[in-house]
Amino acid sequence: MEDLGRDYVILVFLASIGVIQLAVAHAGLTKLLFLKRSLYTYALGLTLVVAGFTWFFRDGPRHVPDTVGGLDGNDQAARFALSALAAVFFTVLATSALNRRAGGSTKSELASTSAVFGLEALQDHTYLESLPTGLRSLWEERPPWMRR
Amino acid sequence: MDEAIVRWLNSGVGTLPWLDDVIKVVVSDYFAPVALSLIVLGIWFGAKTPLSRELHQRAALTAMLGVAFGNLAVQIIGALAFRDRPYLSQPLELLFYQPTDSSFPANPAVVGAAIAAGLWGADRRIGAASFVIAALWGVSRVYAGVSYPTDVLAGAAIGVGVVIAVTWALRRIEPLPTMVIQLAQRFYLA
Repeated sequence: MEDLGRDYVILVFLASIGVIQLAVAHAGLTKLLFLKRSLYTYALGLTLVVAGFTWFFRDGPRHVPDTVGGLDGNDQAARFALSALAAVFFTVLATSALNRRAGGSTKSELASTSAVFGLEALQDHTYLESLPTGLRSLWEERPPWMRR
Repeated sequence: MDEAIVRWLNSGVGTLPWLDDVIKVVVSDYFAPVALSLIVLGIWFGAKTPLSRELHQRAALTAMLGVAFGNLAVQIIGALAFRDRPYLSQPLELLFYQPTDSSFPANPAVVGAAIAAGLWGADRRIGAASFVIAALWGVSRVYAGVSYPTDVLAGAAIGVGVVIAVTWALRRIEPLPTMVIQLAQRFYLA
């Protein structure tokens, strides 16, 4: 039943990328979008979700007891978490490459990210442009026991 | 009463083959849980303002913890009060494989209700849509002949109850949930 586990991972990976695109388009996090126009992004997101489920259920409802190779709850949870996380990292890395400005951001533009942490910053800056600011702030605010 | 409802619902199997095909997908172990988990993922990223984003992410954390503790409750209750599946005591047309674990409480109902109740706290529309998916999943289990209605109702009550308890517990352990979200914000993932 290795196929079932593999297909489950593909379903979650594809559908997660689609859902993330739908969500970030709704939230206005433009630097996480694969496509510039919202309409195309919604179409892409829906297509990926439908494609994921169609792919998974292409041969029927896949009723396999977990005693003979089906995925039990824990297995499903672990595969879902890893696949969704992979989809998140694929999205942030791919959109960082797609949406990076020619010549990169200026120092003053990057400095403006320092005021904003979290997804909010990804309205104006890509993930890889923003990440150093967050890591630097974590390092500067590290607890005393880590300062030795 | 419980058995009569199962027999009545299950008697519809075979009447509309297309409906049976749809139910076979809805009742599967993979459709509703993936759909509901994707909604949780969407709510994590989908809010428009920082304030609503934090509310949504707290709801997503609550839903995930609700599922975890709900599953734990199912294991304990199932071991203490084992109940045979309905197809063992009456002739039913099964649309699902024959599960061997306890029929009571229905695990899918616990999972569905926990996610829906968790999200309800942040967004009524998304919470309501999640409750619809959870309800369809629960009813399809009865239609398919693998759960009693009371298994599903008890499961839903457990799911909602666990989420209420998790919400209370998360408030008690503040600022830990806030620190988790703030740490994720430094990695630009929240």
